[in-house]
Amino acid sequence: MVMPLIRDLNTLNTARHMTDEEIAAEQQIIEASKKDVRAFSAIYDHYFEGIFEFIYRRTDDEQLADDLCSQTFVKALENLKRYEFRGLPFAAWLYRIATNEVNKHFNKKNRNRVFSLEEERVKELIETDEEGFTDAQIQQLKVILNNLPTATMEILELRFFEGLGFKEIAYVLNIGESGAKMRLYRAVEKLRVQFNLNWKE
Amino acid sequence: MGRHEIRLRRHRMTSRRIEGHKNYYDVMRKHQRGSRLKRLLKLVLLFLFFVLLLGIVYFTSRLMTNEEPATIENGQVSMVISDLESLAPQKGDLKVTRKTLTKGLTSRLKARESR
Repeated sequence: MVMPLIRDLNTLNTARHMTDEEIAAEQQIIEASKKDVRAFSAIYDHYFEGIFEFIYRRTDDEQLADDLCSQTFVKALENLKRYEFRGLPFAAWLYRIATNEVNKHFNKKNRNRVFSLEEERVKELIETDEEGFTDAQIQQLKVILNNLPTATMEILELRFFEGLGFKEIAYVLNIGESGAKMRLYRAVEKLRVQFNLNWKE
Repeated sequence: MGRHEIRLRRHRMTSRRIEGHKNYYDVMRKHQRGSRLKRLLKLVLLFLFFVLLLGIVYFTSRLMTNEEPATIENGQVSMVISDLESLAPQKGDLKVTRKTLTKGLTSRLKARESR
């Protein structure tokens, strides 16, 4: 069955970008927070929504997402003095902590990882024909994503749903940048075979 | 890495709903409790370290005070005996001198210690 579902995924390739000035300004807040934790509230306000959404997407449980999100920020505060600036937005460090917290939770419970993706977002990311997304197509996409390795799925999620750049993804997952790119391209190739995906770097 | 499960949600969570989970006060409270516990643990460890250090100092000083008088006494006695042995003309005389001298010396040393 040929499915001309995904015509262009170029929009997926643009990561959420922070300018050098923004990163530097953020770094100043971090330095201030190291001296006085009260300054951290600005960081909390700025990143709470993103981190919560990320954890919710990885757990599909609102209450658990609340707990893990709160735990993520507590851990960040506890280890703030050890944080080293590497030219990346602070969010990368928060995503790293959040990923560790989520993984720790699933390892403890000995359960399969969850990726709870919004249909709306999937539709935004994958262009469909005039008829739109049918249930069968959604099911097929689900099957393909289910068959991808979890590590690849993590990269896909961070890239397309969180909008992180490859450098940030590499930092979050503690892998090489080229490795992250390779895994993502392979996953996109798989999608392209199934969905006649027209994806350009 | 193990297997995973893909779930598709009909709707995205709204910012307003996420905002409802925001609780900076709780985060700060947990952080403060955690740092208080850490500080307490540090204090306990420091206290234990000092107790250990004091114990070591006490036992070494005790060992040294126990060893010192014994060696001095024996040393003094054996020195005098060896001097006498070199001076003594006959074996019989030496036995008598050795006994009396050892007694005399030890009693003198005890008296000095008690003083």
